[in-house]
Amino acid sequence: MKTSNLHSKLKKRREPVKLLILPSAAMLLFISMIPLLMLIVFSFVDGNITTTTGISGFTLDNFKMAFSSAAVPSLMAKSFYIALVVTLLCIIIGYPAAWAIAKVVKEKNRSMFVMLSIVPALVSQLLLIYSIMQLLQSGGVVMTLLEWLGICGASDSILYTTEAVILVLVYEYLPYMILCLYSCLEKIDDNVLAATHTLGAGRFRTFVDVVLPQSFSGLLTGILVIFIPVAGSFVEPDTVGGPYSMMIGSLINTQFNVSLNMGYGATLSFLLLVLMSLALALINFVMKLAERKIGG
Amino acid sequence: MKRKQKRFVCGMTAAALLFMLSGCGEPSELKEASGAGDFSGQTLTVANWQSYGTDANYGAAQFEAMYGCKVEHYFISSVPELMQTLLNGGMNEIDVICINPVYIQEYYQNGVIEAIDTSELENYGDLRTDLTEIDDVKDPEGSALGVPWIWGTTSLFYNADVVKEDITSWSALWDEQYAGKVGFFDDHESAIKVAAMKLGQDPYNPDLDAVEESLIQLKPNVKTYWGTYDDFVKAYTAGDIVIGNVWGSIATQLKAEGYNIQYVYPEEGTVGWADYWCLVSGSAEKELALKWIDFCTGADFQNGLATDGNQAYAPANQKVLNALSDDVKKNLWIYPDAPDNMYLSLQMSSDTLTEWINLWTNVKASA
Repeated sequence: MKTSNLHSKLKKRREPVKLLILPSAAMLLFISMIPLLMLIVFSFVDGNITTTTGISGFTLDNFKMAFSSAAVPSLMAKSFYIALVVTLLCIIIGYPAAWAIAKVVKEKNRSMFVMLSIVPALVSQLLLIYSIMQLLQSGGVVMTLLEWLGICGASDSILYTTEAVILVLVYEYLPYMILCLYSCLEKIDDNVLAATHTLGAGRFRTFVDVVLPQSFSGLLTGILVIFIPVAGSFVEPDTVGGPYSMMIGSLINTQFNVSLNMGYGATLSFLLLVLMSLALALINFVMKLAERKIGG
Repeated sequence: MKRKQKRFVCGMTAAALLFMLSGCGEPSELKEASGAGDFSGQTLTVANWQSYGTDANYGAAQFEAMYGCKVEHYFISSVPELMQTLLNGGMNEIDVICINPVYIQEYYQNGVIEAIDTSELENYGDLRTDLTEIDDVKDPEGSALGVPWIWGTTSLFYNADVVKEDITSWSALWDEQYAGKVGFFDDHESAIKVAAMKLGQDPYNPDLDAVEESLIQLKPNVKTYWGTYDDFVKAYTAGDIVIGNVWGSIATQLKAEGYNIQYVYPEEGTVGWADYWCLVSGSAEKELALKWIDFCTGADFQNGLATDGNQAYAPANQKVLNALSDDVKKNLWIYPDAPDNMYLSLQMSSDTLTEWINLWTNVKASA
């Protein structure tokens, strides 16, 4: 009797918690599940709801068109390649930066450095792109400086190339990686690090055996947060990219804004989503494997 | 869309209220006064893009003063949206609309616009025939569905500080000496038309395989495919692009700012566009709407349009165009003459449109 009483009391106490979950559950339903379902439904639709012709029914033509197109696979491949390079660069640049903020900088200054590193993330995306363009354009500050140093001519700007797209994307997404890694690195106990040294581990050994395993979760989050949006970019390749920089996002954007073929646009988005999920599953698997190898 | 409509209804109500208040004193006289030629008390609703001539001081205000009526603007935000608005009750409110020939047949087939009796229009005979004599702007009986009032081009530009030769052909864009220096408009239609003209084919119906090959051959010369005003101006002013194709209005603005930009019509022809006034079916203010169309194609308004410092659009009235000063003509890139081989944006079947867009995608996606 007594235990069952206790159970019911605990149950009652849990009720408000259930209510508190409601808003987030509703959000998940309305901004994630339902749109996802709509995306799948619309990818089988023929036509466009915003034009007078409207939707004329369901069809498999969108998928046939996507699979028979030569442009789609090459654009998908290029988007994945760019996303991969950007993510790797963010990791390479983000690790030392996050480490410096978490372990090298004095504790009272940490929050200031965190703020400074996420300032770009607080500024409008388009402003970031335009400011980088201003810096990099032919005859701009950077190019003039490079010419003065005798490295290259002032008109040899890397603007309007795929490298420029990658540069802008790294600039935009680096703060997320730094933040994700910082949150993990900060938790590593300084005594543990000191212990590795007294026990004779070198810097590399300490990093591989202690730091890396403990920052894996942050690294994984960082990869997720960067890889997905970068693969779907279209503003960056359209503004700072050259004739060979088109990504799959531009093609999807074209379907909604130029050809007004929302069915095909939805199909391409759906295919991108499927490929992305597969890629992330693979990344997740590799990370888990590495974690077990290193951590175990 | 709904919000737009709501705003529209609100605007109309406010205008009606204002009008009722202003006319409070003499409601009976007003009615008596409105005979033939006097439209006081009546309201004409015009659908047009914002800052596109008719809302300037030489536009609606002038018309109101001439006829004693009121002109209400409904600002278009997109062509499909305008159609939806008209079909959902807007036809009772809007009398005359500005659209381009790409959509005129579609609007006509949806019963949104009706044929215009051009014998009622004094200025119709003075309009450029390359704009009036087009099947796409006529009904099956040959009556006009739209009356052209404004036009422009997307033609070849070059930076005369860098390009020292006189450019007369589109093939200059493919010239190796301009490798990495071409700014090309990111638009399937003008891209295909330019390649077709370069290849000596019919720009409305070219051999698409040859066009695709030719556009891929152009890629090593292209620095950037520009999409917006800003994209173009940034690349041009930084010196990253020195030749390519651009809207006439951008060339006008850059020239006004002191840049040595040249804008020419190659001998093969050029890409053009024009906008037309169309009469909404069953408009209650049909007589006034025709007066409006006549006004917008008449000397006063067309002159205002041609000399509007903020815009660089050419008048559709040939008489007005001929009488413009050399300076204005130079400003509008129609000195000494306007181009006579313009390939306008016209209606396209959805299959052709898809084909053209896919071609352009393949070109941009090709390595």
